[in-house]
Amino acid sequence: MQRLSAYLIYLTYGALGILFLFTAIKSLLYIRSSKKAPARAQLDERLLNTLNERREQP
Amino acid sequence: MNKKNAVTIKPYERTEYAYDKLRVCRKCGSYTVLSQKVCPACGKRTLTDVPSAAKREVRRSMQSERLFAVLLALLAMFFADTIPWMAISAAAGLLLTAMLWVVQRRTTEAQIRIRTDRMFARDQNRIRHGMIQDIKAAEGLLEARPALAYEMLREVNTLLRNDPIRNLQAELLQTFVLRRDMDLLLEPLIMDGFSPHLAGYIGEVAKLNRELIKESAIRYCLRYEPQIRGMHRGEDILAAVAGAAVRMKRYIELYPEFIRRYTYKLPAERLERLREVISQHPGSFEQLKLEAEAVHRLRFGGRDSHASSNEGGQGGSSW
Ligand SMILES: [Zn+2]
Repeated sequence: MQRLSAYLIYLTYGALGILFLFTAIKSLLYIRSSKKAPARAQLDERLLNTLNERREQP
Repeated sequence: MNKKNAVTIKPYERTEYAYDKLRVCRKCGSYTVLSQKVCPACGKRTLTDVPSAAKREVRRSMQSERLFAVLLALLAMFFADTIPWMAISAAAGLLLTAMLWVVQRRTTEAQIRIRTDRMFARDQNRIRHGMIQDIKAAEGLLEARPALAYEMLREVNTLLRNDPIRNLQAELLQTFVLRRDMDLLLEPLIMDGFSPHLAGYIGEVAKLNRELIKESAIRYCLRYEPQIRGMHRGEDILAAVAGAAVRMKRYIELYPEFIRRYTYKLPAERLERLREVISQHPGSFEQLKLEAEAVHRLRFGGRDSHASSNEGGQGGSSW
C-alpha cells in the first residue's frame, strides 16, 4: 500500500505536465492562427468564389 | 408586348457583406437567404446568421478545453500525497487555466472568423442546395405573385450570381410598370451573355434614373450593340444609355465613339449636356464635338436651344 502511494505522486507530475503542455500549446496555437485569421471582407470574397466558381466583375 | 403590371417592390436591404444575408438552421443545418427566423426546410424558428453559429461552436470548444484543464488539475490534486503538492497542483491548475482563458478571450473574434470561413468551405454544397431551394420557392410564385418572386430572386442573387437568375429577374422586371421611386437595381443584373430582357430593362432604367447607369451597363450595351440594335426599339435603348452616359465626363472620355453613334437620337436636354461638357474641355473629343454640333445645327438651325433644355435641371448634383 505504501509502495503504491509512492507511485501515485507520478500521476500528479504527469497530470501537471500534460496540463502545462496542453495550455501552452493551445495558447500558442490560438495566438498564431488568430494572426492569420481572414478579414470579414475576405470571408465574403471566398464564399462568393466558392459559390460562383469564379470572381464576378464588380 | 404583354401588358405590364403595376406592382410594389420592397426596397432592397443592403448589407455590408453578402454573407450577412445567409441564415443557417440550428436544427437541420439548412441554409437560406429568404427567411430571418423560420427555417423553410424544417419549419422551426431556429435560424441564425453564420457568424453566430460559428460563435457558438467556438465558445463550446473553448469551454471544453478549459474544462479539460480543470480536470487535469483536479487529477493532479487528487493523487498528490502531501499538502504542498496539493497546493502546487491547485495553484498551477488555477494559473494555467486562467492563462488559457485570457488567450481564448483575446482571440475569440479571430477564431469566429476562422470558424465561419471553415463553415462556408465545409457546407458549400449545403449552402448551394439551400439557394436552389430558395430559387425553387421563388419559381413557384412566378405566376401568382411575380413581385414577391422577383424580391426572392433578388435576395438569392446576392450570393448566387449567374446568368439564369439574372435573366429571370430581368424578365420579371420587364413585366412590371417601373417607376422612378422604386429601388431598382442594375449592377447585380449585368449578365455575361446577351439577354433582350436585360437590354430592355437597361433602356427603361436609363430613362427612369440615369444615375443607375454605370460603367458595367454601358459596357454591356457596347458589347451587345449589334444584338440590341436588332431588337424592337433597340436604338432607343442605346440612345437612352448614351444619354445617361453623358452625365459624367469620365464616361464621355471612355466611350466617345458609342456616344457619338447615338448623338443624333439624344433628347434636346441630353444633347445640351453633351455640348456643355465638350465646351468645358476644348481640344478633346474632336469627333464627338463635330457630331454634336452637326446634330445641333440640324435640329435647331441657328437658334439657341436653351429654352427646351430647362426641364433638364433637376436640382441634382450631376445630370
Ligand atoms: Zn431547419
